[in-house]
Amino acid sequence: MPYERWLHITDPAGDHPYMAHLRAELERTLQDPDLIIRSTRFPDTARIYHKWFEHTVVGAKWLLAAVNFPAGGSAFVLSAYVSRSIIHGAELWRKES
Amino acid sequence: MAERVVKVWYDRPGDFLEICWGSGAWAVDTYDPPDTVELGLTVHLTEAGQATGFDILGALHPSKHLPSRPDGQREVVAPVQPYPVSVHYDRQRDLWRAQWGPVVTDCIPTPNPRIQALVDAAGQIQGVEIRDLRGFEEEILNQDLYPAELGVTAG
Repeated sequence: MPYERWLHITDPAGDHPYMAHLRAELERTLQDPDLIIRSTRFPDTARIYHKWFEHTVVGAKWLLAAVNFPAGGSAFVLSAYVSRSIIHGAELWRKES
Repeated sequence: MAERVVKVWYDRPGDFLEICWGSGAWAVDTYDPPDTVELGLTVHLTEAGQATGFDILGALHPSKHLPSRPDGQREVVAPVQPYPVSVHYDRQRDLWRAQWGPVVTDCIPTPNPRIQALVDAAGQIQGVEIRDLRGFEEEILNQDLYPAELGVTAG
């Protein structure tokens, strides 16, 4: 993730400052997701990674990371936050339980 | 009244627009309107369901994914608390308009010429207009809006 974006996400005046405490969980979400949803807008380049965490600073939540995979370039995280629910869209991959 | 900041972020390589007005309120839930999944709109919510912001994955070409209004304009209204969040796009003028407060009485310029603030009579920012996103050539648009810096005084 570009450093400027990480600073923006974790800015105390923003709405996801708690992500500063979930850096390790974000890395786990990217490395070992439970679910990947294909972006309906950018089916070829954007994915929403999901991973369920029972214990976070904001309780039991899904951690979501929107990742862009530009053609011929390096993937990067657009956004990351938590939610009680998953994002609507086509399921691309689900981890076997 | 504590001054509230509005944060506008646009990532051109990812075509990702995010606007937050929660001023530090923790958004720990999301709402993506089921009838506009193709738009890629996600509203950020607090634990109590209060909207604090939204993001759009794919802001450059949204018009065909936005529902049409009777007047021909295109808009989506997310039925969230405390007020519905309306997101409107005027393709002809390449103008995004988002409003999260009940009443807007003025539209004033901001330090960023692409952005105008929609304010209420008390000087609080209740929405923004962003124009010419298609002509934005830098990688990141990152603008914080403070009412005091906009010359707005609480009445």
